[in-house]
Amino acid sequence: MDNVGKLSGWQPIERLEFEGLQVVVPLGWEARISKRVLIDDQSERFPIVHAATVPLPAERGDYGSNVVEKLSAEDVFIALIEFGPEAADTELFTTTNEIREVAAEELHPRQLQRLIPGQAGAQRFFTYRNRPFCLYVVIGSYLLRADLTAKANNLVRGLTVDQSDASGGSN
Amino acid sequence: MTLAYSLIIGLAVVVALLVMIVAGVLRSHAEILRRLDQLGVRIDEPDHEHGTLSISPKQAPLGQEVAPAFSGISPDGDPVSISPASGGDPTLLAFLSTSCSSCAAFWEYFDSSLIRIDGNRYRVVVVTLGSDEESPTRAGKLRSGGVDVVMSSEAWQAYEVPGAPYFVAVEPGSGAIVGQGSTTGVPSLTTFLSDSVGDQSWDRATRDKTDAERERLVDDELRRAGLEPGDPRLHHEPGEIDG
Repeated sequence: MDNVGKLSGWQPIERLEFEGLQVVVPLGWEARISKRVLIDDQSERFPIVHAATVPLPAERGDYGSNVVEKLSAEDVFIALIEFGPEAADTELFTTTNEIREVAAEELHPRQLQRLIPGQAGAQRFFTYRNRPFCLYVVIGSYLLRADLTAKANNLVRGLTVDQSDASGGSN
Repeated sequence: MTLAYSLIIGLAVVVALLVMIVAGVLRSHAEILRRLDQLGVRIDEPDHEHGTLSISPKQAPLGQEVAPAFSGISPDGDPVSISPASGGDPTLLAFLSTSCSSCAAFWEYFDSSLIRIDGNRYRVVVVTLGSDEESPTRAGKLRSGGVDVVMSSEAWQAYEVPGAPYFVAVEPGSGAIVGQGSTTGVPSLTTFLSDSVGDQSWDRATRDKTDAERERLVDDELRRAGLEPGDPRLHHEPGEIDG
């Protein structure tokens, strides 16, 4: 964690780093990187990035339960969830050479894990640097998706991932 | 004779040691008083509130003193970035220590990330010093319920925290600091927050009243000059009025 830049005054932009995942946190956002336990194998734990323009409580679900309910029309929630290495480069997790920004056309109410009136979401599965991920984005208002896409991409642009070897460990 | 000299020398050594001990105690006492003074504590003043050391709600003109974002780690070791201005509820940053006796009541009291005090809802974030100065294990054990605990020496520096317990109340949206101070009891924390919110409302009402008063004075002045609201002379194009 360190300061990587300054905007107005002395308020810094924060950067978090854990388990080969980094996120630059824009002003007005909160973020956490934690490890989640897979239900079918308690011994394997993979990191997950949560970021939102609302407070992130200590207790929250992988896909934002306990957070998405609190989004106003102008808020955004993002999760970058890593899966087990066996999923890498499979049909669902096709390999990409970047974490692509979210497009407004990707956002739709049917993409939500949990339907909340007014909200929309996007789910994208991919393998990047030999690590399989799901990027899950929720916006507070489908009607405001153009503006909220730009807001979401402020965060997505700051996501970086370290290369993993074939065994699944990050370098 | 030798015995008498030895006795005198022995006594002199004992007296010197006692002088050094007393000087040390006095110096330590002076240091304690100095630190308490920095926290705003006056021990010669009677304390009528429950466990209150000092309460000093700080009036910060809106927008002039903004609560900075900060990062740290949770007691579980997860990196965390906190933005006190985010969300729709005011944020209460509670700077606590795992070892101070005055903090124990607050560790117990803050058992959720949202608490209701005096009719108002607050988001609570407990902030300890970083893991190089505090024990994450101890912080994890003291954490009650779902309250957020962030270990961050950076936050203590940014908020210039003089010692624990210390509290900062932050307005949502603007991130303005509406109150900050030190207290040792939960009842006086309630008073502190109530005063902060009350002072903020008073500040807004006064500012609105001042604006209205200024507008009325301008209208009166214009009327005395023969200008009523809607007078075409109030709406002119550049160059229409002779310099």
